[in-house]
Amino acid sequence: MKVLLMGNPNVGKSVVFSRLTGTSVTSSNYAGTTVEYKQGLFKHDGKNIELIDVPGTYTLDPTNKAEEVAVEMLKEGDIVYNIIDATNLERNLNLTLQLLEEDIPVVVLLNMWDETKHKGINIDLEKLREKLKVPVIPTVATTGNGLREALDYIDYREIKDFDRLTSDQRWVEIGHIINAVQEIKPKHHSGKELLEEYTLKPWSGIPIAAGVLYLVFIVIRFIGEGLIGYIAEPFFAGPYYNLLMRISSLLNEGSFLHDLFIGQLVNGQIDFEQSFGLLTTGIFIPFAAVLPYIVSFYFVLSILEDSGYLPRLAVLVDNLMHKVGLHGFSIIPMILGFGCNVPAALAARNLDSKREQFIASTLMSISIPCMAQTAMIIGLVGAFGGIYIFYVFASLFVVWIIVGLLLNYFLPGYSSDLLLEIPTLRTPVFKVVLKKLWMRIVNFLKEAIPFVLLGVLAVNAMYALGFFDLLTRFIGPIFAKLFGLPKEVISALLMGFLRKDLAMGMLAPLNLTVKQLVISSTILTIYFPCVATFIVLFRELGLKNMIKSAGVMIITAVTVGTILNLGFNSIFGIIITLFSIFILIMILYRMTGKKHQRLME
Amino acid sequence: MKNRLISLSHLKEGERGIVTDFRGGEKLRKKLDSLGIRKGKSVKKISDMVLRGPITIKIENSSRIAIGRGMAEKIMVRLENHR
Ligand SMILES: Nc1nc2c(ncn2[C@@H]2O[C@H](COP(=O)(O)OP(=O)(O)OP(=O)(O)O)[C@@H](O)[C@H]2O)c(=O)[nH]1
Repeated sequence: MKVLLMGNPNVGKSVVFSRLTGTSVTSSNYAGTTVEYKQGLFKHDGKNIELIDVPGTYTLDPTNKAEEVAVEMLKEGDIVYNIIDATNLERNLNLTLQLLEEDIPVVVLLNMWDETKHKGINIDLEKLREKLKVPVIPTVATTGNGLREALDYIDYREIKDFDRLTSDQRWVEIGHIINAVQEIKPKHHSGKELLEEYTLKPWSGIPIAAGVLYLVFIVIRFIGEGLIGYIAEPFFAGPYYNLLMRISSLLNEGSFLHDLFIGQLVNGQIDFEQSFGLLTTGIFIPFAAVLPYIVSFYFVLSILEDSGYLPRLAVLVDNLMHKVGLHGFSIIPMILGFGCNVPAALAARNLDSKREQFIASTLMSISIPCMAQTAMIIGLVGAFGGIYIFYVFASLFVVWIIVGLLLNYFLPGYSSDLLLEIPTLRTPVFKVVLKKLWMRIVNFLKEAIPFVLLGVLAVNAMYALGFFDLLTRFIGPIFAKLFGLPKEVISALLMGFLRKDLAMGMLAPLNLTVKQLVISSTILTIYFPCVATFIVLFRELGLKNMIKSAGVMIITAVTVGTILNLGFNSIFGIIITLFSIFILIMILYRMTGKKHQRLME
Repeated sequence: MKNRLISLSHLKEGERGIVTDFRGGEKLRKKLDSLGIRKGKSVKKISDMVLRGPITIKIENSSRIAIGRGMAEKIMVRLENHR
C-alpha cells in the first residue's frame, strides 16, 4: 500500500515521515528531475506500508518542477495524508480543497496544533470536519501526538464528491470555511518574532549570518577532527593496517594482485596516501579522510536546515548569487565545499536547473578550497604573515566573481527571481536530524565510494603507464615561463589530484619564495578538484558538461597563475593589474545586467 | 496620495499595504496566488535587502515571503493607514 504525505513546504512532513518510518528509508531523485523525495517502509497491523514524503507543494496546478513531480506522484498513491499547518490554515486549505477534488481518499492532519494556542488561534475541529467531509486529526509531529490516531485511518477509502472549482471560487470557499471555523485574537510581537525579523534585515541579518557561519565552521571542524583523530586514524593505523600487511605478505609484493589491492609499498610499509591500492588508498580516502568531514558537515547542515535558518541565509546572499547566475540557495553547495568538495558536488544536484548545477559545481570546484587544504594554506603560506593568506583567498574570491559573471553571461538562460517562504525559527528535533544524517551518509557511501575506487584505479594505471612522467616533461617549461614556478611543483599538482592537503605539504621542502607559494596554492585550488570530487562531478554533470567544466578549470588556472606571476611584479604592474581587474568586473557586471533585462522582457 | 498605487518594492520597511494589482503575466499571478499573495491581502514589508536584493513581506495571518526585486516591482499595493 502506498501512502503519500502531501502538504505545503515546512508544515512538518519530514517530522511525520521520520516518526512513522524506521531505518529503511531512502532518498532519491524523481526520474529525470532534480527533485528529491523520500521513501520509507513500515509495518502497520501486519501490512507493509510504503510511505512517500512528496516534495512540498502549494498547489496541484504546478508552478515549478517539485509541484509537477507531486502531481505525478498523486496518480500512484492509495491514500493521501494531507498535512496542514494549523497556524496558517487559510493558505494550507488551498491545497486541501484541490486534493479533495481529486480521485483519491484524503485524510487531513492538522499539524502544529501545539502552536495555535500561544498564537491566539482557535480552530473549531467539528465544524472543520463537517466542511471538509473527511477525517481531520490534530497532530503535533514533534512529539508524535495524534499520529497513532492518524494511522487508524490508513484503510480509509472513501472519496467524497467535490466539484472542481476555479482558483477564485476556491478562495471564496476557503473564506467561508475560515470564517466558520477559525478565530484569531491579535497578539503582540513576541521576542522570537523580533529575532526572526532581525535575521532578515540587512544591517542586523548580515552580522548574524557571519556569526552563524563562523560557528558552523568551528563546530564542523571540531566534530570532523574528533572523528578522524579518535576513530578513523586509530582504526586505520591499528587493526586495518595489520590486516593489510598480512594480506600484503600473502600476495607477494610486485605481483599483479598485490599492485591492484595493496599497491606499492613505501620502504616496505603500506602508506595509505601513497600506495594507491584499492584496499589501501582506495578505502582510506573515502573513509578516513572524507567521511568524517561529511558526517560532521551533514550533521550541522541538518541542524541548520531544521532550524529554519537556511532560507534566511539564502535571502541575504540572493543578490550576489544572482550575479553569477545562481540563486540564494546555491550558497549551500558553496558552504559545503569549504568542508569537502565531494558533498558539495552532490548537493548541487538539488538546485533548480541544470544550468545552475553546472555553474555552482564549476565555481565551487574552482575557487573553494576544502577544509584540509585550507588548513595547509594557513600553515604554509601563513608562516610568512597573515596578509599572504589574504592574498590567496582574495584571489580565489575575485576568480569566483569573474568566472561566475562570465558563465552567467555566456551560458544561455538566466536565473529567475527568488520567491521563497521564510519559515519560523524552531529548535531542531534531534530524531529528525539524525534520520536526515543517516540517509545522507548512506547516500554518500552508495554514490561516491564506487567512483573514488575507480579514480584510485585510474591514477594507479596512469602511474604505471608513465603518463605522469610524460606530463611533467611536457608542461614543465610552460610552468617555469608562465607561473615562475620550478618544475618540481608539478608533482605536487599531480598529487593534488588525489589529495590537496598532501600536495600542499609537498610544496614545503621546495624552498619557494612567498610569491611562488601564493601562486602555487592558488592554482592548486583552481586547476582541478581532487579525484573524488572530479568523479562525482563527472557522474552528476555527464561527460559533455564535465569536459566543459574541466576546460573552464584549466583555462582559469593558467590565466590566474600567469596574471599572479607577471602582473604582480612591480608597483606599476600591480596597479595596472588591479585596475584592469576592476574594470573587467564592472564591464561584466553591466553586461550580465543587460542580458538579464533583455531576457526578462 | 493615500490611494495611490505603489509597487511592493517602494513600500517602506514596516509599512502595510493591500495588494491591488499585478503588473505581470498570468504565470506570475498564479505563482503568487499559491503562496497566498492575492488581491485584497494585507501585507507588511519586513525588510529590503541592500543593493537591490530581495524584499521580505509578512502576509496577514500567514507567512513571511521573500520576493526577488524584479517580481516585487510588479506587485502593486495601496498604502494602508496605521492601526
Ligand atoms: N511546534 C511544532 N513544530 C513542528 C511540528 N511539526 C513540525 N515542526 C517543526 O517544523 C519545522 C518544519 O518541519 P519539516 O518536517 O522540516 O517540514 P516539511 O513539511 O518536511 O518541509 P519541506 O521538507 O520543506 O517540505 C521543523 O523545524 C519541525 O521541527 C509541530 O507539530 N509542532
